[in-house]
Formats: sequence, C-alpha cells, structure tokens
Amino acid sequence: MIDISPVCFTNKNGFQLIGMLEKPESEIDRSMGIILLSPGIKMRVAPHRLYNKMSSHFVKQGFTVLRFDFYGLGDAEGEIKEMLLADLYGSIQLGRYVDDTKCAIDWMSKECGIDKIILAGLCGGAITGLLTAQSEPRVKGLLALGIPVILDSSDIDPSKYLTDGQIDRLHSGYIRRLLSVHSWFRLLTFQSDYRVIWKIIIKNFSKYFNTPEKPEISSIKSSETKPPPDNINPLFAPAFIKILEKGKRVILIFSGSDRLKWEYDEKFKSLYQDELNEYKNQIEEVTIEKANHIVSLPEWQEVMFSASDSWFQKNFNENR
Amino acid sequence: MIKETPVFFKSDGLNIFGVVHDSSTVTHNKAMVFCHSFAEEKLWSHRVLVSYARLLAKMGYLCIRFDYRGYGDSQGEFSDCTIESYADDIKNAVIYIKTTFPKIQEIGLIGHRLGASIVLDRYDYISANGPIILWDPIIDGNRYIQEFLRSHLTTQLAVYGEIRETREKLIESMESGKLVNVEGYDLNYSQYDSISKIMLNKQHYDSGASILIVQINRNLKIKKDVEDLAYRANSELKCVVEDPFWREIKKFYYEAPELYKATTDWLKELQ
Repeated sequence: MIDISPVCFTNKNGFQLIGMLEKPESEIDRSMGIILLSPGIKMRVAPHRLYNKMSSHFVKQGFTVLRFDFYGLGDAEGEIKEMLLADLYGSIQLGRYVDDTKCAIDWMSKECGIDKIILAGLCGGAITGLLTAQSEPRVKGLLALGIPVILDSSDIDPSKYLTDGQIDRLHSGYIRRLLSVHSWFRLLTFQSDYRVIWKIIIKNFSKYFNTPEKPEISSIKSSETKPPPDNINPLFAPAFIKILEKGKRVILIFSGSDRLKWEYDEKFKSLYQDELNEYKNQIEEVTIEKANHIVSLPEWQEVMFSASDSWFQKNFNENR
Repeated sequence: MIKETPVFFKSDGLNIFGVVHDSSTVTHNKAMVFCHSFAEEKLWSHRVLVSYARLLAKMGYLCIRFDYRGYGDSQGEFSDCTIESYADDIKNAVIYIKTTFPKIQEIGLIGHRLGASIVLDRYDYISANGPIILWDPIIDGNRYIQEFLRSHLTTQLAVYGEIRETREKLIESMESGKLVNVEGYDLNYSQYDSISKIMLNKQHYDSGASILIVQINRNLKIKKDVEDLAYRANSELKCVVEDPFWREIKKFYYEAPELYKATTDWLKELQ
C-alpha cells in the first residue's frame, strides 16, 4: 500500500511550494529518496502523468519519492515574468530552480530523515537536477530523461543550430514529401520554412568539412560570460564533469526520436569523449528506440523503468 | 490574506485532489468550482486557472480547483474516465464545498473547454446553485475528439515515418475493447463515445442559472456556433482576444487578462 500525502514547504523567498510525498511500505528501509523535478511548465505530474507513473514505480522499489511544483508553476506561489516559453525554458536551463530543489532536499532531510537523494527529471527537470547536483553533497545520483544540452531563448533561432541527426531526419521527411501535392503547395505559397530547407542543403555539404567548436571547460568553470559557440548551454559541460569528479552516478535516458539525443551526442559527447572516458563507470546511457520526447507509450516507459531499476541495483543497493 | 490548502475529497470511493483558495479575513458566502479541460489541455492551461482562482479569492469567493479522477494527483486512471465520471467528480466537489463550508450559500461553476461543456450539459445533475461561466466550451464533441485522435496519427508519422493505423482503425480498435494511446493518454471507447456525442447546439437550456459564455479567439469575430449556443442557453456572450493557452504556443500564459476582465466584470454586474 503506497502512502501518498500532499506537502507544503517554502522556498528561499518565502513562496509556498506544493508537492506530493509518496512512501513505501513501512517495513522497507527508507534511507534513500528520489525527488522528481518538474519538466518545463508541466508541473509535478509531467505530461500524461508520467511522474505519477514514475513515482509509483520507484516507491515499489523501496524509495520515498517527492515531486513538487517550482515557484510560479503548478500550484506553487510566486510569479513568472517571462512572456515567452523559450525564455522561461532558457532560464530553467541556467538554473532558475536550483534553489527550489535545494529547499526540497532540505525539507526531505528534515521531515523524512533522508539525506541521500537521487534527483530525477525529464528535460527541464533533468538539467535542474544536473545543476543542483554539482554543489549539493546530499545528491548521490542523477536520473536524467531527455536532458537538454542547449540553451533556449527567444533570441536564438534554433534552425541555425540543427544537429546532423535532425538534418538527416528532416531531409528524409522532405524527400518523402516530394510526391505530396500539399507539400508543393506549401512550398510555392511561401508557407514552408525556407530557413530549414536552406540549412539542410547547406549542411549536407558543410558537414563534411566542419567540426563543431569545443568550448573549454576551464574557461567556463571560471564563470566567464563568453558567449558560447553554437547554442550550447555554457553551464552543461562544467556541471556534468564536476558531478563525475565528485563520484556521483548518472543515468542518461534518451528517446530515440528526440532531437535532444542528437544534440547530446553531437554537441557534448563527441566533444568531451576523453573526459567522459575517465568516468565511464559512473555513466550509463540508454536510448529508448523510436520513443518520443514525452515517452508516451507504456512499452517505452517499461524500457525506462527497467533501465532505472538495474541502475539503482548496480549503484545504490547498499543504501536501501 | 489568501490561504491555499491542498485537500482530498471522495468521489465514487476515489480520492480526488483539490486546492481550496480562501481568505482568512473574509467570511465567504459564495464559492466557485473550477472544472478543467481535457487531457494535455489541462496541463497547458493550469496556471491560467490558478491565477484566476487567486483573483476571485481576493474578491471574496471561496474557490476550489480539483483534478478529475485519472488526472493530476487524483486517484483513478484516465482509461476509466467518461463524461459521466467527470460530471460525478464535479458534483462531488460541490458536495465537498457544501459540507465543509456550511456558510456558503451560492456555488457557481467555471468550466474550461470540455469542462465547460460538461458544466452546461449536466448542470442540473451537478446540483450547483450559482452562476455558470463557460470559457470556450467545446460545442461539437465529435469534431473535438476526432482532432484529438489526429495527434495519434502525427505520432505515428513521427515514430514510424508512416501512418500504420487510420482513425477508423483506431476507433474500431477501441470498439473491440482496446485502449488507444494518444499522447500518453489511454482513451477507451466509452470516453471516446461519450465525448463524440456532445452536441451542445442541439437543445435549449433552462437551468435558471445566470450563464456567461466567453469565446476565446485570436480575433473578435463571433463564431456562429457560439452565438447559437448563447441563444440556446439564454446566456450572455462575450468575446475576448487571447491566444489558445490550452495548447503549446510560443507565449507563456501565466494569466489571461482579457478573459479575466470579461469574467470579473460580468460577476460584478450580477452582484
């Protein structure tokens, strides 16, 4: 029987945050907890209640799970001034909710006596988890679903920074549509995105000659505000390397049909292969074949659960 | 000072999650029950409803926002929902307010999209006794649910590069007792069927309640079916210019000022 109760706590600015605490049966040792961090604006339940499904699965594995709303979102107090989603997402990718996450860890530690935490989340929740984990000793692991390595902003035109994976996919999409009257109509009536089409043509040639520029971790670590090359989030690589240096465990779960997977591969992994090799025992990578960003199908969720369970078993069994 | 309290109440034996907004300085005699929209529309529009509940609470209304069974933090599964179950949950939210706050004399309903359609269609069953506010009601349920199924086809195209199951096949599949997963929501035939049968413009409504219909659109041009519905429901009709905040759009919709103003002005006129 799972015990679910609503909880309220305040963040640093005194805003009330509302969450749900789910506890396993009392006979299971509960020294380790999981905090699910809200993705984008989809609050503590996440798209199609993905987080409810995740928390109920994790509770059955013996974890106490907290999922809560960040300030200004869901049922929490506080306001958001950003007018555009891209800007809100960008602010999350730069750590907007790290303090709220630390307050949630404090709350869990105080109220549940749990001070070994795994942070988990989809997309914006995953990057918040990463940015928090680098400076929070109680965080022992990060379970990241579709973690973004880029920075969103209304000032950034994403079509400028398409990955090769995205271009290949778009390219085959356009090829498929060559016989579609509707697509030709769109093209000839100026409804198509010419920037993307042009990008595909250009990139198909240029990818053979150019390699992406690797940002220096050392310069980013010294918090210099140099504009990043491409649309890469300047905080991503230093935070990722830092949590590995501190011995934390990471599982990265990507959806096969999601651009975030290609962005991770092309804009982070291929650039930092040497650094990542040093810590390869701490990182696990799983790709759910064909899955979409929100992991909507139960069979995709099953792959995610099974990968998470083995990762828990391998890395945290002695803590439970 | 406005208090926001998370609560659970029962509906058909299930725990239904809600948040009550009330003022510690005002004795409320009026309440408003918020009835949210369908599937992912609920999540996209969540904050607009939260902000309006806060605004109404400041005006002296006790407000409750809640998740239907199978949604948010309520018990139950989406795959068991039907129009009847949504109506039951709304009715039980009204009962919860009546029994928990006995000084409340008038309980009104605010419905958004499908929530608005249910509020109008099942008002007598729900047993509220206050005004009805309908934000962009779904008038033609069949057209609406067909659009919803269309996103299944979009997912198929994105995942497999082709459409493997047409809409007709998906419906057949539901008829045979299977669930169809649309953007993570398991749709059953009962829910599909009960939504597709909604046709608000087929009858006249004589609930006796004061009704406001707000058309939300990117322009002020009144849609014919909305105008017709306003006539059949003997309601006031207002049009506001807002983006469709119940879908993924570029703008972040924290609040909907035009919608709030139209609704609040009407409520003030009623007093």
